[in-house]
Amino acid sequence: MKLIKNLALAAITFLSVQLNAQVTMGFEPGYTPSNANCWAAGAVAAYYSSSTVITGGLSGRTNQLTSSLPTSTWIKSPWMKMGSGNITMNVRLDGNPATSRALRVRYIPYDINAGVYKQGPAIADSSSYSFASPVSGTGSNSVRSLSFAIPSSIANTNAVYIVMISFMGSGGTGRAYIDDISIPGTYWANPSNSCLPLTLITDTDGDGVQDSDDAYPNDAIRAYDNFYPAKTNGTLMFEDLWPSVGDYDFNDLVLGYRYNTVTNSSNNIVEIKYEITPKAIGASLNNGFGFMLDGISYDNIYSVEGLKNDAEWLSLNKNGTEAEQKTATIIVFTSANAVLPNPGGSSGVNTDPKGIYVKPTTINFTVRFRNDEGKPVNSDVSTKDFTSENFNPFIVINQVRDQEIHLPTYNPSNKATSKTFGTSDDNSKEGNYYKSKNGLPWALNIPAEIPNTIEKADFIKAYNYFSYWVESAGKEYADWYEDNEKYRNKEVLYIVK
Amino acid sequence: MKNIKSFTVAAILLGMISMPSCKKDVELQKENPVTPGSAASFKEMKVNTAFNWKSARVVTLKIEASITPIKILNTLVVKAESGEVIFKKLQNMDETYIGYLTLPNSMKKVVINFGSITKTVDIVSNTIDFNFVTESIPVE
Repeated sequence: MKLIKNLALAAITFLSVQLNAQVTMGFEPGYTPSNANCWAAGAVAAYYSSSTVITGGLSGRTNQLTSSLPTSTWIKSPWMKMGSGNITMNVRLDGNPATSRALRVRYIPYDINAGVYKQGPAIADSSSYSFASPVSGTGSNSVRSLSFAIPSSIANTNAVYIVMISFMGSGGTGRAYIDDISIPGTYWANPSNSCLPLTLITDTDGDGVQDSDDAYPNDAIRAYDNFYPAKTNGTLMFEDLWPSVGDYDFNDLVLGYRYNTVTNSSNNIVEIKYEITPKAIGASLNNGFGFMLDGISYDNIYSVEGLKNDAEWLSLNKNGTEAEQKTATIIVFTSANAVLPNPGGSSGVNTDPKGIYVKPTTINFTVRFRNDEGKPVNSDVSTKDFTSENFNPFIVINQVRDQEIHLPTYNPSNKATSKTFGTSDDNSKEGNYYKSKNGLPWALNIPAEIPNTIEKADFIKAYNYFSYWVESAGKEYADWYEDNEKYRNKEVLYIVK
Repeated sequence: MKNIKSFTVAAILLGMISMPSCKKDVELQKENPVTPGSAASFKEMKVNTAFNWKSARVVTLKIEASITPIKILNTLVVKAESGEVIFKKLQNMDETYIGYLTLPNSMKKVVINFGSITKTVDIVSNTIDFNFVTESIPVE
């Protein structure tokens, strides 16, 4: 019943369009025959010459007319439902030598069995105009205003037609020009469907997105899934001795991540579904992990659902974001050792090839921006304002809440103490945090799933082109993390078999 | 004159000898990831102070409107050349859109679908410029 309702609504929309009962082509810049408006042309192109233009900036110009066939030189309208009255247009010749020149208007019906574009043979009813003498030389290039009555057999019916205007000629090199075509009727073509006739879409939830494109066809609040990274999990890797530099194996905490930004038909974010997978711990410290949604206020979040985070140092707002934070901050887990426990009880997981492999468990949770009715808590958050750049992950070092490590250049949260910045090897500056005095980071974010190093293996020994990428300031080997030949040194990587 | 001739011959010979050697150097450079000057360890890397350590960048997506006699709504899909869907939105064909996507730095092109309209678009200066007009006009 709902489906029928939506089909009917679509029909009403289209019927209202019929009130604008003219389909026109004026050959103006930005509106000449193309796939985007479904006007087509064969051996006719938009052209400007002060001596031949009929109106406006451009007119349609034919090739030299040397054929008496109507299929050599032509313009076709989009599919349309024909109204009644006259098709009008302005035409002229260019004054060059010509023996005969003529124009013909025909009507092409829709034929489901006729090739890709479904254009059947033209109906018998057609109209013609022969350019009277002189067809060349002085006076031949005057503008003629032509008018052709639409056959009553096709006027005001539900059938769709293409109007084909053809130019014919023999002798000489003269061309014809055409402009200001106006056809009574309703535009009925879909440029996004090979210019075939419009069809009523099936949109069960009525959100404007047809069911075949809608990831949630029965849910008007949600429409599209947008995954980041698009192909596989991304990888976050941390060194945890900040503000001192460590051994640069980047395996103190290793996480896989991927998230799905679910949007509605207005391109606003409904929710983000996160998958965080703790993969390896190469540290003796027991770190927590969270992230900020940069640019998003905590009170723009409706709820955080699915997390079971608990620690003395963690206090939450009612919506599940961390309390006393201006920017929305989500603490995913408070104890790495709890989410990826070492079977022996000691520290270090999945960094020693001789040790026991611990199968990671993915943490799934959802950050909702809208309530059950699809309304935002405060204001809309659009994908225009929010990209993966706003994802600001960090670790809480060894259960000390005011000690955070973020990706290089990213801001710390309200909870991070400013006292540690600039101490030991840290060289953080306002707007350029978490880099050492040598410009080195304590965290890496890779938009692909990559294996971590084994314990104490220098990261640049594992990824052969990483140093190329870094030392060229990102210009060389931007794909250093890919599993291409010679890119990886698998002897120092923890490969899960 | 003779001197010039001899010099030319010598230069050509020298060129013939050095060309394969040059090629070999380039191959060697590619085969050996740590070229002279590169660091032997993470700590020794020389880093440009402006380097941001990001393997992905924000790219501007610009959709140029086309004049359409009626409202044409369809799903606009941005994909990687390998086929993964990066972004989807409902797009009105006669509305301009400017938005932002995060793409791996190594990605140089994207494929954009709008119903039957498909285009591969180069990412130039971190911008994807798309319009609905294709080269081919539907004709028969």
